[in-house]
Amino acid sequence: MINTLIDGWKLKAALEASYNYLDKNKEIVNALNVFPVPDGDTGTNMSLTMRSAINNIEKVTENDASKIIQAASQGSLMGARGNSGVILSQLFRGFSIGVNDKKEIDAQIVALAMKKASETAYKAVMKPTEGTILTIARECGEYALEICNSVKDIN
Amino acid sequence: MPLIIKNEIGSIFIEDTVIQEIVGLSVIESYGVVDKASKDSFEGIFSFFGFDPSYKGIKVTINDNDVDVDIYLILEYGVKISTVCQNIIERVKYNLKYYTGINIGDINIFVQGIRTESDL
Repeated sequence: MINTLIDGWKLKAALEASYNYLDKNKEIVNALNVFPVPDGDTGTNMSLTMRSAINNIEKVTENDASKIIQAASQGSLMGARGNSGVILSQLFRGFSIGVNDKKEIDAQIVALAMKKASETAYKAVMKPTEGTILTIARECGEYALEICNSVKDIN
Repeated sequence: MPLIIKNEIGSIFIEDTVIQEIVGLSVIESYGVVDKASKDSFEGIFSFFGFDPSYKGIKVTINDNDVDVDIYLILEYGVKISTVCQNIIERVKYNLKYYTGINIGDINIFVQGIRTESDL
């Protein structure tokens, strides 16, 4: 079956799956942590921030993508830990601005929201350091915008 | 008053402006910081005329065997202020220790303002 839209439950499942994947691999991310302070806690911080976002998502009872992503944005803001957690919460905030109030989202909206997420994350720093998660977010957003028109099946 | 590190063959003098600049550079690279605020009216007048040195908003107090730092900042709206400040403190502490090897006392952060979308 070809799906062109993501509804609230699918978005929720995707976020939960990404949390589980992050939590499973947090040791690898910890080992990558060299900037700004090489204390090796990036993976743990990100995983705890995501956990807080997921906890907030679970309170949402409506099948509404915008409500889900808003809950994630709020949850990650409340539970932000460490530099990476703060950046992650800004990415969620930008994504939720991009999604706006749409109940279901398609490939174009996902791409625009990803672009918006990276813009929001960049705005909160005077002198962005390239080669960090910010670069990844920006490149992902740009690539998503490039390919979004040719995507038929979003699953 | 410069910071003095003595060893058996001589002394090293580090001016407090050097410490201010190291702190200033680590602060503007930190996530969530959009500007530094003026620490006194003198700097406020300077900055009004477009003169923004890299040590703006940083106050360094050199004690007998450690250094205290006060930082005056403006943050982005929508970040968790307590976490961002904690990150800045950790980063400044690490960078100062890394570049100068001095003992660090207190690092205090004064959040003087928040920049919202409508300010842009």
